[in-house]
Amino acid sequence: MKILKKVLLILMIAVVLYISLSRGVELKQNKNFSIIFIPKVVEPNNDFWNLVIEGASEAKIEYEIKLEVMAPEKEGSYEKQNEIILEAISKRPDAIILAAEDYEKTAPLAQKIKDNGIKLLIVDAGVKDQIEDVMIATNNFEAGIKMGSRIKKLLVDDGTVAIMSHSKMTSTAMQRESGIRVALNDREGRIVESYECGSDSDKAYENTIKAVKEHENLKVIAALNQYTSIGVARAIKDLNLVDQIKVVGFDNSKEQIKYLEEGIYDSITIQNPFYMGYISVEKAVKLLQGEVIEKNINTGSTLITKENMYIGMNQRLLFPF
Amino acid sequence: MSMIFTYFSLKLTKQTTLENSIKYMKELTEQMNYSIESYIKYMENISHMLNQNADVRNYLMLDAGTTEQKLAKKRVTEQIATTLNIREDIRNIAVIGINGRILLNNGVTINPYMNVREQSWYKKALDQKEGFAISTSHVQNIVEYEYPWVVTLSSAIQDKGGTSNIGVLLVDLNYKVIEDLCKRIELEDKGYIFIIDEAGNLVYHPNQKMIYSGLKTELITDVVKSKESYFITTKDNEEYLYTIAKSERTGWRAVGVVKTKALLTYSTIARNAYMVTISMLLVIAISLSIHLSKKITEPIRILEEAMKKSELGDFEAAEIEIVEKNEIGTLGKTFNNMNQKIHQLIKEKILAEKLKRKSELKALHAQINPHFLYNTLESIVWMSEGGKNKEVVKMTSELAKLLRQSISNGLELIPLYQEINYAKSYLSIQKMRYRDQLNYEIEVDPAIENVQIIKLIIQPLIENAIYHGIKNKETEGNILIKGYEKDEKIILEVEDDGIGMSEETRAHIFEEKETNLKKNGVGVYNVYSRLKLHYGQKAEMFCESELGKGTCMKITIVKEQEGEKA
Repeated sequence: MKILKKVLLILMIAVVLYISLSRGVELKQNKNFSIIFIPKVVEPNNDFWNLVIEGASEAKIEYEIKLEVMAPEKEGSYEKQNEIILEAISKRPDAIILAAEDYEKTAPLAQKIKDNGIKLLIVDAGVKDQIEDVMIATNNFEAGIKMGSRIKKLLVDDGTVAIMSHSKMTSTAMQRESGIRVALNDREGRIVESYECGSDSDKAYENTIKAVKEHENLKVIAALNQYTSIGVARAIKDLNLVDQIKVVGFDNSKEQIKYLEEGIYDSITIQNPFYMGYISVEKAVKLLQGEVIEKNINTGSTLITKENMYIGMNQRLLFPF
Repeated sequence: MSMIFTYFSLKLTKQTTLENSIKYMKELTEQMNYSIESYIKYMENISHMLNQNADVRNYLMLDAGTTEQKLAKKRVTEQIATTLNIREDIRNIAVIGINGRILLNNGVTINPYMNVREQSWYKKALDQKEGFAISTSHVQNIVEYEYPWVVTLSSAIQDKGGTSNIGVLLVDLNYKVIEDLCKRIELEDKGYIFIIDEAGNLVYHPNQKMIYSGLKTELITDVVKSKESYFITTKDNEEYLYTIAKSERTGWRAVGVVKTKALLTYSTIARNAYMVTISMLLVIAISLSIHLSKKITEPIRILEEAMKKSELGDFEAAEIEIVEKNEIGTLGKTFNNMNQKIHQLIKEKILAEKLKRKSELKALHAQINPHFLYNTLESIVWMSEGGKNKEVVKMTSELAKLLRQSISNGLELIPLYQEINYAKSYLSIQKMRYRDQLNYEIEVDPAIENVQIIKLIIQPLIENAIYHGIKNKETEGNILIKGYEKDEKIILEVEDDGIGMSEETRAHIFEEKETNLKKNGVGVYNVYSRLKLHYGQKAEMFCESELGKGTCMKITIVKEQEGEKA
């Protein structure tokens, strides 16, 4: 009899506990992870990174975590970024989301992040040896293929191609160029020169003028990122060579969209920055919660032309609210 | 009982709550729909004003460059500017003539790379002839270098007669307006409202960036297909309520989405309240029963145990403490009394038995062999007649000693030496009678001389040895009396070399027999039973005998420890 009474007592206590706890359980989930986001740059004109950060912020709200953005005001200096990485490590976050400035020179810092027991997610641009836990980026090789296929169509007769790259040491540039070359296939030989412009529109501008001078029969210029694309477009516009030389650009700042409409760009290949930012935070949270995440996540790219720019999804991609 | 009650009450509550919630959400969505509709209507009225404006017609129709046309143009421009000024929610206003004339906002340049006639809002307006065409949210690129998100209201401008189209009026509404309208409604727990147009395109959605990026999906198809004004569906393990309100005017649908869980807060609260109440009732019930058991069941059990103990004879342990003032307590008291009485009775009985034993012992003690008395007295007479005065004196004094001892002051225990003296007296008397026929020796360890033993245990054995062992022997007989300590026991032996006894006799020697009593009066049996009565297990008696050889009687008594009572 006594045992039965005790069992009942325990049962009843369990019921009361269950009810009171079941309310509390829902709130337990995310334990307030802290994540530091290190993009390549934070500046008002860079729509790409601003959108990435916007996506990340949206995910921050969704998953109720702490997110801090640390970045230089100008793209292009790996030293500056390394400094920032060190500072970030000292803050002891649960995870760092990083867009690596230099394929080789950022690598030791990336290793340092891992050595400190912090989860590392790479967004957009990576480092050699794939030190990161997860890589979230546009498949730049694939983007390059798209560009290359387009260029192939544009190449009539024996026209030549010049490439305006932002850096020989950034993975994004390297992969895009590689994609273009592979897509061109047997026509790869038409690429007469690949110029290094840094992330500097003015440099790209100068290089464009140089390229036009140095190579006759130049029919297509491929620009591999926002800054180089803008520089090339401005130059072509100023030189009045819109009909002669087709520009296959990258990214979609406002200025670039204008150029697309004007016909200066034959096409621009755009990425999915909002999605990239959002997913990087989402995957970071899932990784910290112990889930198994795929090593490479492709956020995709789209080739936009004047014809298809206002159509359906393209409009949304091109003109995020 | 309460569980069943709760279950049904909760079910009812949930049902009612859900119905009320659906009603509430529907009203909310209708309200949103109405707001948007009103707003659009309001915009249409503004457009209408411009549309019907004579100046607009003149501007479009009159020959270019004439004063009238220029004036008309000026006035239209002013009106557009004023309207734009006053209403922040209007992004663009344009008058577009079929003939190619265009007035846009404050006179800004039209985007040269855009073909107005290709635009869907333009085409729709012309197709519709009457009324307004409303677009879904889209990017408007009519103004050079600008790419705002707007909702476009377009309508055909007609000539005075109203028969043919002469142009299109464009009014772009800031997308932000719709956004603000929808955001105004606050819904619990991430509930929201979104708007789709007739075709199912998203006009507004709070998570539109996520949807366009493919990060989230919305059940737009379900909404479009739904014939009812609401439905409940499950997505990602959560149940959602969708309420739909359609505007006939615009073809738009306002959709309210909310988690049913959030709606059922009241029933959840009720459920929790019920469960807490039940749990508390259970607690009370259980503690009540525990309390009751303490008051009743437990005391009964204690009583039961005490009775068992009493039954087994453990009267002191059976005593119970009475705490209760109730019927159980009374039972307990009665039991205690009974227990004590029994205990008392048994004590008395034991006492009585003891007394009885004592008197029995005493009675036994008094039995000295009468034959021995007679014979000794006759011997004295005979010796006296023979003039043997010394022997007479000796025998008489020894006899006196014997008698004194046997009638003595009733002490049960005497020191061993006294018992030996008694035996000596007896033996000396018997020696005087049997002379050479009887020899005896006494070997007693002086160390045990003072040990207390019961009296009259050695003499009867000696008597037995003489009458049964030696008297009928042809030759002389010897008796050896030994006393020593061994293994914590006092050993007393009476050994003779008389005629001995048969095995059968020996085996039954310690039994009470009529024949024995008649012959000896006291005898072996007497000694044996007195030993047992007094010492119980602590004394033993042994008889060894062999026909023709002799007999040995042995008494062993466990030596008393200090402080023990016999």
